[in-house]
Amino acid sequence: MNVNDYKIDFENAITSNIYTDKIFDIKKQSFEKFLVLGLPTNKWENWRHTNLSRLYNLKPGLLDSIKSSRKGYKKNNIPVNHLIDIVFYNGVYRKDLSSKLPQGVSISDNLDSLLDNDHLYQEDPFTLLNSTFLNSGIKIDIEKNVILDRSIRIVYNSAGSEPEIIYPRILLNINASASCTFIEHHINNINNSFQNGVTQISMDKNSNLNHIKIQKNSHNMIDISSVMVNQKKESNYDFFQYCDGSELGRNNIHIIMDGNGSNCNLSGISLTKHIQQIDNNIIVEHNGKHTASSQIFKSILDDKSSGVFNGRVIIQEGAVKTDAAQSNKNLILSKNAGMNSNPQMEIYNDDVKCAHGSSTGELDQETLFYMRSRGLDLIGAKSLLIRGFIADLIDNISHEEIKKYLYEEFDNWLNENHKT
Amino acid sequence: MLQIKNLHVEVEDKKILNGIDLHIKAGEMHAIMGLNGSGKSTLSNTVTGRENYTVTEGDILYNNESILDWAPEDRALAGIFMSFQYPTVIPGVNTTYFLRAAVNAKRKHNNRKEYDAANFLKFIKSKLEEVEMDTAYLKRSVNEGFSGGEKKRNEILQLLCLEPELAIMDETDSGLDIDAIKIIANGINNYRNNNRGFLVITHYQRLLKYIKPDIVHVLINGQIVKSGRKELALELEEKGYGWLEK
Repeated sequence: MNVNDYKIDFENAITSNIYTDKIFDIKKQSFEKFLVLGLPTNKWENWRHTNLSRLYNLKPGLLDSIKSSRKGYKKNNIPVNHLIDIVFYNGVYRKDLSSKLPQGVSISDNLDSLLDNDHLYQEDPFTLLNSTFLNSGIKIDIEKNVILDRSIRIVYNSAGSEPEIIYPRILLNINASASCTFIEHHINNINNSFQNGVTQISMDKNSNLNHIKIQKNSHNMIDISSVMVNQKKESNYDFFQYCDGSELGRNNIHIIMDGNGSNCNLSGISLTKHIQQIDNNIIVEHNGKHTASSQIFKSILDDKSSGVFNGRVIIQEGAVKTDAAQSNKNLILSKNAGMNSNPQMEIYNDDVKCAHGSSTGELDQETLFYMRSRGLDLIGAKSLLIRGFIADLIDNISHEEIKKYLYEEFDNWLNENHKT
Repeated sequence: MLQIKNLHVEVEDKKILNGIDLHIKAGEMHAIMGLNGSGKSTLSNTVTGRENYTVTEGDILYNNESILDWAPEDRALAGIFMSFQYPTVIPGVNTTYFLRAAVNAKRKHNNRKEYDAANFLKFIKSKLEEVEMDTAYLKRSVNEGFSGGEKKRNEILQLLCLEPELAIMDETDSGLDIDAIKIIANGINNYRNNNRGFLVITHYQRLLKYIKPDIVHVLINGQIVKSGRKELALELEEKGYGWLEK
């Protein structure tokens, strides 16, 4: 897809869909803004190491209006009880395939309310493209004081043979003192397709969100996803992501901590092999006082795969008593794999506590010998050591069923590696 | 049990061992003493199959079979164990998980039923008491944050769990206080019997106050220059190594 392809898509989109004047204006403005910015190149600081040619050589068609067919749809189950499933199939929200909502949770698929605050997020070309082309999206509201004991899972599912671009959009409002677990589960499976998704999260004061993202798209897809979170006073945001899918997977995560006393913990595991690339591009902005953030991102890279960690923590002048930590650790399993790590901190006041670091290395030969000298075979010893590399992050997941599920997924990933 | 014949070993193109002959029979404890750089650790690493220790001449027979081409794990499963001079940390792998994997690998090799988590816990508890470690260690990553003494006790714990036929103790006493040495010596002495062989490698004779070797060898420049009864250790303590150098 190049800028011209997007222009053609835009002409088609506005002639074949009927939008309200408000939506039409937002889309037109978004596209004009996109045209000013253009598509990123490797000269853009945050895109220096991302293999963009894969994306630009891909020519999927625009999703053909709203597909109502269920063709090829298979329900996906994970071993978690009492999930509230919300299904996007081929990029379209499907109420008919989704669970009944419990009290305190409401969903609207009205584009007007979805795009209400869209002007807030206009720095990134792919977010602008999402605003331009999205046809379906939902706004989820968790009422104030609601403590949801069931987890919400958004399933991003797709299947079929026609390559397409999908633009899912979620707006999640956690109202004051509400608390919930929100699982994003990406299992798209259409060859040569492109998911350009946006998730916006707004957290009101004293709210609590446990956000788990699992990206297991098929290996010939491209996925560029943006998560944007705005935190009010004393809100707590926990984010964990597990990615082993997509040929090119890019996670843009932008946390804005406006509220005093807000707290966020971000962590993630990226697993790549063959020619996969998974990039994590993270910005944490401390604006309020007494805020705390932590980041731990780990990648395991095999074959000719690659990855990028761009982590930026910005501590504004007024954000006194900030406590920020940032860490990126990478394990390289093949001499043809490579990682670019770039942790940064921008600090504009003196009254802060900060730490950051990055390390990239191979499996330690001494340790492998030690394990083998106790009777473990080479594959068993390697597996144990690789598992040990990420165990702390999975162990930290408070959701027991997800923890168990992800260990199983991780072990499957490891076993497949040993077969090839 | 272990027969080392005219063993020559190079590490990174440097000759370290220059023709070692050593024969350990079941029930015997041999001690190898020598200064730093004499080749003591090269000998133990070569017997256990570490990479980059190249045998250029000679052979190592274990129960009458040459083991030079065997992988480290195959040597371990056959009954060879080394207590490491510097035990490595295994980050993120908890001690129980690791020990159970090792014990089960051995049980599987011997066609015995593998331990499940509950049975393993029963099995390990009595072993822990022997080396005066409490169960809290089991939850920690292997050797992570362990003191020098704790690491060495963890080595003895592994010895007791894996029940090897031949135990190589590589500088097990280095860096330990006297109480820790006593605990470790006690573990070794209890483990000793007529079917098991020991090769104890040490710099000082301190450990040999608590465990009594049958034969003491002196290693200088990659060769055994003298062998004798345990009194030789005392003589070395008194006179140093100088009088034995050519």
